[in-house]
Amino acid sequence: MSDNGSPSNMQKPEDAGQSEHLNIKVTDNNNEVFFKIKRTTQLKKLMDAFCDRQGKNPASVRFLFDGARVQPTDNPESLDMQDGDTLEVHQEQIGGGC
Amino acid sequence: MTRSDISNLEKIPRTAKEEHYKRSRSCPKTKNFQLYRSKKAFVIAERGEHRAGLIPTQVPESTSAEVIRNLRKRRYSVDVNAPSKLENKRPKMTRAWAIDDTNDKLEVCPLNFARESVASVPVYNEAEPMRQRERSTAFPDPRRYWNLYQFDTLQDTDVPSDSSCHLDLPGSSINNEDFLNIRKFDIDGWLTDNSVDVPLELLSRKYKCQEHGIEIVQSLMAVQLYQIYRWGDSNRDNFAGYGLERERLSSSRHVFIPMNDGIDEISNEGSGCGLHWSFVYIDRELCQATYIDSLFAFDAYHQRLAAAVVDAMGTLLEEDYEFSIDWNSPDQLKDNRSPVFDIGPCGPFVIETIRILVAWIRGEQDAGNELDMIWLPDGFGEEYRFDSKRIREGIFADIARARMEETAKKLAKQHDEAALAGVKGNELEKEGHRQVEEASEPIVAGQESSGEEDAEGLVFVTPPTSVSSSFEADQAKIEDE
Repeated sequence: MSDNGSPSNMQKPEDAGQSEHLNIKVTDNNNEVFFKIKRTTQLKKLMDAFCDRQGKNPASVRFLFDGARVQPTDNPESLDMQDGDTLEVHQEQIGGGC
Repeated sequence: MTRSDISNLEKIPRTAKEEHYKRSRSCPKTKNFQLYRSKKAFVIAERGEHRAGLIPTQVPESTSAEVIRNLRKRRYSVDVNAPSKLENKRPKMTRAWAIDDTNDKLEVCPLNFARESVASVPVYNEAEPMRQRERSTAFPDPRRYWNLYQFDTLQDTDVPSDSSCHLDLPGSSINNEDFLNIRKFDIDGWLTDNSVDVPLELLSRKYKCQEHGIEIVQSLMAVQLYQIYRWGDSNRDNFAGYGLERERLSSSRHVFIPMNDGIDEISNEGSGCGLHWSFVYIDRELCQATYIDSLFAFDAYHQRLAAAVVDAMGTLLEEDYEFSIDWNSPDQLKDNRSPVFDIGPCGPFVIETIRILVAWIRGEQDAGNELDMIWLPDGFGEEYRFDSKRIREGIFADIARARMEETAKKLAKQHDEAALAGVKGNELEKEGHRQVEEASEPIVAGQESSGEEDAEGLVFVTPPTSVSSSFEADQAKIEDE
């Protein structure tokens, strides 16, 4: 992967488990945006905020955490995310021929 | 009966309808029946004793006391009146309903069923024989029975074309718009990564791939592998960040990697990237990787992308594969037997070809062998008879069926939990179960189905707890640092 790092490489503070909010990094290879989010907040909010900032259409991007697709209804708690974890953003792929 | 008898009868005061019916309810607690009506089926559940002479179901002796306590002592028989698949047409009963008394929705039912089971013209005279007639009660949502869905005709008009989630599987999901586009042949019919990943996950489930050493990865895996190829081990930690990917790829002998030619694009336009789907098949035991492409097998750019993905997988797993290009693949344009010109058949090609190869591998395994396939055999295209229209229809039906199964499972679980918890009938109704008396106006014989009636269809109705339900506003705030 690029020098953006990968989810497992991030430093995770020892006391992060008790905090109500998490710092999540969202990266699409070009940009990195950090969000502070509650453990029980649906990630849809974070996804929309990232797309808003980057001028992307939410329907045309895919969010991955630890290699698995993230759904808008997921939240950090359900994905067992920790402080400092990274969400990767990839473009939607489409194909038919030429 | 004499004239004076008739005269006397006329002197008897007429009674209210409900009062009249009440007298006919000799066993009101046991003769209730349940009705459920939809566009595609008419369901009636009752104890059956008075209609078919059925005795109440006996509880087997071996049944535990706890289960008996939780079960009703007498069970209902359920009759489903629905179109036969063999008739290949919509039966009249789904649109024509016999109505003997327009003020009483209990009389509403399919014509053929009405003739058999429901008495006709109500007469509210004391001397007339009492009609066998009971109050209907709520019918727990019949969609929890998967078998009822067989009557569905998979009409895409029942699904709104929006971005709501249509089917959410553990590893992939697809929204309504992508689902509907699967059956299109114009530019909208180009498959997205979701439209490729979901059918492949269903395929993997159907053939029990992971239990048999076959791994069909998601299309985004190709993107991740390409990044490994492009950036290398930039963190100098032996790709520690790709532990899950490594674990998944190394767990099987046969690996299929669907890939899009947009994997090296970095688009900031807010739209999707790529033009074409193909795939790589890797036999890890033979250390062979085969690139199978229905259009660009000869193209150097596409060959390089495939080779890069294979190279990255070798790097990640510390293996070395011999890369080759398959030349026996059918051409998606020349060899396509679809009766309709399909402008984007590469997605269906990838899905169907992987299905054929998986079935092939599984067939050999069942015969006690392992398939040692490096290239597609000569004449593969002829036997394949590639038809993208047929494949699209099959993919569409598979996804629709999977959604029905998921819906049925969820509803059955909800119902069972509620029943075992002792939820009363009226509380079940509040939870979204249907009651015939509360249905919208019945469809009069000969009338077309209204939009409201469509909404009552058995199929493609979003379950109450579906993931596609609207997202509730969350009070938590998100702050940019």
